[in-house]
Amino acid sequence: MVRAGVFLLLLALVVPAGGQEAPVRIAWWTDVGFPTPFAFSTVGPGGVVRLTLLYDSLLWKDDRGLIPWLAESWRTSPGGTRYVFRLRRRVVWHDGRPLTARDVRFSFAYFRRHPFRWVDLSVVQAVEVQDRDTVVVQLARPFAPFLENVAAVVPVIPEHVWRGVDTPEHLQDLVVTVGSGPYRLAEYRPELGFYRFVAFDGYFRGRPGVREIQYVVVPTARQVLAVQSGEVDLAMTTAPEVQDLFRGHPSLRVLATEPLSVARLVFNLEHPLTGRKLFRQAVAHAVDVQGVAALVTRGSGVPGNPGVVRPGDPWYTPQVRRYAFDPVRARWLLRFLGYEDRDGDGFLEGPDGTRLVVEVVTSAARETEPVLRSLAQVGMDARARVVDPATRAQLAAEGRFAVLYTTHVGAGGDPDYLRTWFSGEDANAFAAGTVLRTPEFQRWARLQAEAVDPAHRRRAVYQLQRVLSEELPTLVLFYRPFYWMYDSRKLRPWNTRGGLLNGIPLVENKLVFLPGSR
Amino acid sequence: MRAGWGAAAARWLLLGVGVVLANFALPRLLPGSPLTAPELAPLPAVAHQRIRAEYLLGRPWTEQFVHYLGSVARGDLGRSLVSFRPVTQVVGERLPWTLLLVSTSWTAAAVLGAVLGTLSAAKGQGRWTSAWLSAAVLIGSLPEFLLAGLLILTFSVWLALLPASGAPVPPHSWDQVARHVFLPVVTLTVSATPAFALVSRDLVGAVLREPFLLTVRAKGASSWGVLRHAWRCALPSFLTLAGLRLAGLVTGAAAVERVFGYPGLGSLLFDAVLQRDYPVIQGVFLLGSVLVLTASTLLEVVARWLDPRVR
Repeated sequence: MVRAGVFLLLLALVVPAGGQEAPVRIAWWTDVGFPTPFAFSTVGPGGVVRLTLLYDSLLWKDDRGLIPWLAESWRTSPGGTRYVFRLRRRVVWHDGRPLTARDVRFSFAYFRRHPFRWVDLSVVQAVEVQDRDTVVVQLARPFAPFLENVAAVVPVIPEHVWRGVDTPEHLQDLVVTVGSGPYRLAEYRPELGFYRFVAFDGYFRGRPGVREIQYVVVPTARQVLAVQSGEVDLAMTTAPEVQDLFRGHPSLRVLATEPLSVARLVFNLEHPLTGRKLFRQAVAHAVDVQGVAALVTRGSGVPGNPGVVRPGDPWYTPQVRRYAFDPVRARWLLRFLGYEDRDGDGFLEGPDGTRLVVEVVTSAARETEPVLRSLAQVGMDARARVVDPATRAQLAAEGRFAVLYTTHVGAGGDPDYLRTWFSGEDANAFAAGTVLRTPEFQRWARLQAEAVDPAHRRRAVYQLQRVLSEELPTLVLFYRPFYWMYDSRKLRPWNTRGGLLNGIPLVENKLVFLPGSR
Repeated sequence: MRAGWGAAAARWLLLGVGVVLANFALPRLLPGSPLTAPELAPLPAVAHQRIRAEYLLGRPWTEQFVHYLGSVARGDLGRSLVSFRPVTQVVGERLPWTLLLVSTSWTAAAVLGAVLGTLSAAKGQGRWTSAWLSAAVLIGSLPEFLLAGLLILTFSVWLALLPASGAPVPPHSWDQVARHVFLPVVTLTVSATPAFALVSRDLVGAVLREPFLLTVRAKGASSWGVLRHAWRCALPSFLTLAGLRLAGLVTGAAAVERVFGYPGLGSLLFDAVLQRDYPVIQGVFLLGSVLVLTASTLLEVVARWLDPRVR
């Protein structure tokens, strides 16, 4: 009896977490499109993360940062424009054919004609095959974020499947989802948002411990209930209360991610009102950022930093301009701009007597409410214009707004987002909205992107944060974590450093499903 | 009689033209464009150019309309701007779910409403009838999403008897589908029944006051026999009104589908509107309109056939 108990105990220790036949079921709030690099949905990060189960990239990330993946080693030229990747041997596609350097070259060439929807690859000038296992990527200019934002994100696709395909987004059949990743797509039901991934036994990192992963659609408001009822094994919420709810539960756990989701006010720099730096600074003094963060995130968020980078991020510098919550100073700045309460009605008026009206375009009325209250306290007639996300994106794209409230992921990982968010180059539609054209911003943005020396880059990133805090194209209100609820009998998720891919606070890193990878 | 059919056909034709026109115009009247919607906005310029050319975005409305008419005539509803799949396929996958939800709720609400309305009419005025009427008006005026929330709280959270989500995980079995569709059906049925009950109460009540029923009663017919006679007269009008109510039920189904995460046409339409997916919006509107028009017309035909005064 005792011997049997010891045997069972040993067995439990040897079998990796999730090493069972029952499928792991993951909740998401919507269908995310057909999982190829050409047809997945870019509304939210769910689609691109699901691709990573099917496809591999040259590098990958774990909880400590970048790790070799399809490429077992790499080196960079002194000028930072040439990357040589040495590929692993014995990597095969799901159909059993070997993955070679030719496939890597084909992938980058094919993505030039048929863009991979998550990453801008215009910096890649050419890709050459040196031998069967060596590939050379030539960049048009040095690009410091290349390894983290390109090599560790772009999926390698099989040449023998995609060669000759002219409209890859129309090709949506299971037979084309051949990748080299740890899972094969066995079933996709778009009307249900249902995906069934089965383990690929020929995976180069070994047989995945979790034999099957299913994704199901669960409306956002009911994800907690779905985990509690056992309907799903992994789901997400932004409500910090779930930590108390699941405390002491025998099997259900909560994992808080790094606060990589950001909420911020975006100012239209072409607008006659918000185009004035003093006005933006007045807003920064008027808004009680600490109070807004505490109220909206119910204490779980980190108050915003005018330098945009999250406090606690490896790239954060405290050497930025600060804006204390100071309504008196805000009023003083507004008075300097010519706004004062001329008729005693409690609202500020301009020199021509017109009331100072500030319209905040938002898709989250309740979250915007405390901001409006802050602005009203200094005499602005602050109003919310509540629109759906598509309309918000439209207004942002056309510059038809003064102030816009947006929330999105990506406040982590490589700091190049400090450039892309404010130069109109970000792939995330929710991160768009304003272009900062000052020469100082342009200079530091370019320098940090092209810096070859890490120390130089760090200095440029710090300078960029200083410029952003001075110019205030955006006022970050808070950074919040996501809370992942999971059944610890099925899987044990953990946080990828800086978020999955480029700052995504999702926890289904493929390593979680592999044996002994952490 | 022939003139009646002619008028019905003319009405059908007029409605059809109206549907096609509205179908084309409505998505284009929405603020925003597919290319600036969150789904397509991140794509590079080269992809935008291709999409613009393929879907004639930015071309004059007249050109787009002629192209749209030609496509509809060929039965080609285009491809989704978001998923890139043929709209007929996208809509076809959702249709059975909505048909299941709407037809079940509509039938259940009609039968329940008819029974309750008849009982109320037979009882006549009284305290019971007043209470019943007040309750019906109250329940009927509750928005579907509120009703859905109450049912989820009761049956999924407190009693933990039924799943809160409307989409069962494949492979589907009948009992699994039934468990998932139960709460959405109950929501729609409860919401639609009062209207049916009030209509049938008025219709049957009016017939019961007709002199010919005195003759029926004088001949010694039972209460059941009297009601059967009354219903023979009331049925044509009831069916016509039930046909009209169908459109309301389809609209209500959209809200219910959204709340339950039910994979029907309503959820599809909601997402398509948010993403400015013109072809899918048009496809759902077109199919929904054609279905409602066809069902209403069929019910009208049955009603005419049942009514000896116009047969």
